[in-house]
Amino acid sequence: MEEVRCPMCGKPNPADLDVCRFCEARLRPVWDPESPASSEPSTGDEDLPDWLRSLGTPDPKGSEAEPAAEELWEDQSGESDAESADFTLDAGDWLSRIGVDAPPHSTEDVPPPTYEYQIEEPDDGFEWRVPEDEDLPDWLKRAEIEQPDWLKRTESTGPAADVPVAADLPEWLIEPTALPQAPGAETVGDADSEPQAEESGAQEQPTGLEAEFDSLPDLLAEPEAFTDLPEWLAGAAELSQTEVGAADSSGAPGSPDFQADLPDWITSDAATQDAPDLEFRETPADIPSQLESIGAPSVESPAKTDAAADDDLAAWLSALEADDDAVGDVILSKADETEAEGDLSWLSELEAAQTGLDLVADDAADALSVEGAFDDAPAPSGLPGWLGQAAAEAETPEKPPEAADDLGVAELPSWLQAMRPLGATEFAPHASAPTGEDQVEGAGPLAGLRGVLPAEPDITRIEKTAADIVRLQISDAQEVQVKLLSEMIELEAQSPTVIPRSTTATGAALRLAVSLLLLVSLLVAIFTGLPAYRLPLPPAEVVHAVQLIESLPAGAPALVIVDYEPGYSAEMDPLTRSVVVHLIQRGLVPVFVSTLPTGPMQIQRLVTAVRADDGQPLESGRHYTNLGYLPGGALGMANFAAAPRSAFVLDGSEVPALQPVDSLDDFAVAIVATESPERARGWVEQTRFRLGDRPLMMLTSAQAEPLVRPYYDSAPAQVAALVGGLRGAVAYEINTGQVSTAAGSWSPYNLGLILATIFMVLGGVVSWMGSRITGRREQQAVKGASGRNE
Amino acid sequence: MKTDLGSVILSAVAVVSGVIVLLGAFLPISPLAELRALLLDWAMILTAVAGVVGVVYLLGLHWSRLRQGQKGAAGSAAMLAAFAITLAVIFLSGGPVGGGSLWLYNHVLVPIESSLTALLAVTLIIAFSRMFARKLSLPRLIFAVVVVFVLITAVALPAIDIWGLRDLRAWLVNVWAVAGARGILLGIALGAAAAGLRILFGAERPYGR
Repeated sequence: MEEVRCPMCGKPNPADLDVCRFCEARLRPVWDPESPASSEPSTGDEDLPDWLRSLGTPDPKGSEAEPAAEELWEDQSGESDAESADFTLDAGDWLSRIGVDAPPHSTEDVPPPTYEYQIEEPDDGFEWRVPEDEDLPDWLKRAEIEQPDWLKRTESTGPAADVPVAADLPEWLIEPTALPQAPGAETVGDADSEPQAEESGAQEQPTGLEAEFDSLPDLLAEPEAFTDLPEWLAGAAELSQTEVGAADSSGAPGSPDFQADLPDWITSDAATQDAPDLEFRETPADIPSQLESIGAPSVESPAKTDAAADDDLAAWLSALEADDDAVGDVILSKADETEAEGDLSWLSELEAAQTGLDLVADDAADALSVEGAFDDAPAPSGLPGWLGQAAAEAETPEKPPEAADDLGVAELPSWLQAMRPLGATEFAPHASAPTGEDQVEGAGPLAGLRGVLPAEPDITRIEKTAADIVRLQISDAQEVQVKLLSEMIELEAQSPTVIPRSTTATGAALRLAVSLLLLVSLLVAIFTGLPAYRLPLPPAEVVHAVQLIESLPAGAPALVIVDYEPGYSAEMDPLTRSVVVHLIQRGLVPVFVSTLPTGPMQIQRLVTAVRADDGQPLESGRHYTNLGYLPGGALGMANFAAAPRSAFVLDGSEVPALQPVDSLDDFAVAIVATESPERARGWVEQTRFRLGDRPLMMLTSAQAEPLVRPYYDSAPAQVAALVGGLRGAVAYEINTGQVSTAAGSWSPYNLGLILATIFMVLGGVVSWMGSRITGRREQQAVKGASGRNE
Repeated sequence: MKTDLGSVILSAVAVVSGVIVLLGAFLPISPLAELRALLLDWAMILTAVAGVVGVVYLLGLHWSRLRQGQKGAAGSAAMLAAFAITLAVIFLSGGPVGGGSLWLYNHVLVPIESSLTALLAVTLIIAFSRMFARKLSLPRLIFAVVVVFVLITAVALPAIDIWGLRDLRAWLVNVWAVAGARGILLGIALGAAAAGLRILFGAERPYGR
């Protein structure tokens, strides 16, 4: 059972099916020439010209011509199956109807050469239909076109033998066995006689395509009759007109006459340059050189009565083949599957050739690429543009793939080129996506078709290559500047390295020397009292403090806060002791408290050194009260200031001194002895507003005095009296007439100050001079090193 | 956002306590004052307990260092021995003001700390002398001149008692030094106020996770 290939999916299907059993595409056209409905003339076409109208409606009478037309295309096996046509020609394709009604031309009893073509089924979905006689234009019906052999696919009794060969046609266009005849041969009538020809054509001329081809030479002899001809066919007529006279019997392809008959695009010498060497199964000897370079399909002619003629015709056909793989499809085989294609299967085969040539174009080695063949190829006379381009491609040298597109490379301005990233976005088309004719559309209504314009733009298939890094295009100078800037920024983040100086030996010796000098000097001054220094004059604040204590009532409790560390005992003990002694002498009862853990012991140290008026040691509870350690720091100060009696575990009733004390202002005075500015500030802040009009007195070290003085100098003064350092202690003792225990420390104190000043000045001068000497030596060393290097 | 319930409770306690103490200091409301006093008592107790905990932690640290033989184990051993002896003496003396405690304080603690303070004086002298070993600049020169001037004028020598020198010294101390001290005190006060407000508003949480 014969099979037909589906135009959509390309799979074989039985010939009797209307739709494909795989993809359900129609195998038979909607409009069937053989159907009764299709035989009816179309309506509504009255306004159309006759030739156009005739194209739209199949001529029922043409059914008789179909067998004749089919006979033209019978293969060597003699099988013909016009009814198994699996394609229909579009109504507007007049070319397919050439020779439908052409009378058979008479030729010698020479069986036409047969060719076996290897057909590649066209997958473009075109449907070819053998037109009826009614569809053909009048001029074409009347034309007695001699069927050229390359249009025929018949066997022995081909119409080529009967079709009269136009004398004006080039021999390569006509059947080799059919020699050009005299102009007096049967010719095609003029336009005026179209009706007559039309009438006679149906009677006298062979039916179908054969008749068309029989009258073709005559038709070409009268180009004025072919006003409707396209340009490429009219050119053929003009060319034929110039070739008057008997054709050279030896019109071989190599003869001059043959050369003259050839169109320019074939006779061009460039066709012989850089043409790929294609394989020929059978290389005719008389193939023109320019056509030989094109290549030839695999041609098998089992029965060639005229090998030379067959070679001529096949040569230029074989030029369309690019190589064994692709262009071999150009030659259509007249196998069984081609029978159903009808008389106009040669067009489908040419279409396949186009497809094959497109495939070839993808190969860089193919010089017969037909890409753009339809765009730029000049239409040689008598041939479609794409076919002419095939020859032109053979003439031109092989173009690089990038040059396939006629668009030249754009020249970017320099500023735009600088902005272009380097090697970053090298977009590559999708590797797996086929291109060109191999591309099968996968979306849209054209899904499954090949060679169609893609529904999606190419931009969607762009994918970025791997390991692409966006890099800016910068010049060398810019790169240098970038490096310099980066180095500058890095230097800013780096800390300056200080060259360490080896001071361990000199530092230890210096400390030792200073320590020994000070120690010896102070010991001498302590034991000898020399040199004797004048006692200081009492400063104003010391006098004020003395006056303050003198003004306090006798027997009143006096709060004494001892908050200095044991290390400052040498400075603070004489001062605190002198004040405490003054309080005792005035009859006040000191109540001691401390916020330091060592405070109770410090307090005890103080009271142990003090004697009462009778020279007896002070008794706790009678002469003084030691409340002990007050924890919490500032919190303790605040808590004690708020409720002095509740701050201690001791029951106030057991301490007679605290019995009249319910609040902080019940104390006659509050005296704070500390070396720390922070503790001094804390006591001032926590107790000042609790004391009311009770005075607050500060006993500080020399280092804390500047920080406490603002409280003393403020108005109103928050600190009523301020006594600081050893100078204050000595002055206080002098003013109170006490036995000066602080005076014994005054000479060593002054001597220590003098020695410290001397050591500081001398040490500074020596260090400065040493640094200058060392720097000069280093500079000399650097200069010497640089001089040696130079 | 995950909220820690413990952090919320700690923040609430801190804020409420701070507000009560602050208001109790300004508002003469008896219940508020009593509540403030109560909270301050609790704070004092917690401070004392924190001191004890610190001492115990320090003992444990030195004990572990001694057991593991780490670097400074000898010092840890001396520290532990001194602690033990002092604790024993104080317990035996009947308190911190007992005879033994006072002897340790007068003959050990005071001399040692006094010696360290004296070394500070020598270190300051050496540091001053080395100040000019580097690049001599105007601030350094001014500083050196002022230090030497104050020290010299502090000495009670007849030759130094020149008219104007003591007044100049008094002007330097009472004006320039006090001005700097005032600035320091103002900064301290402002910083303390800001820190307190941050704790009251919960912006700073030095107490929890």
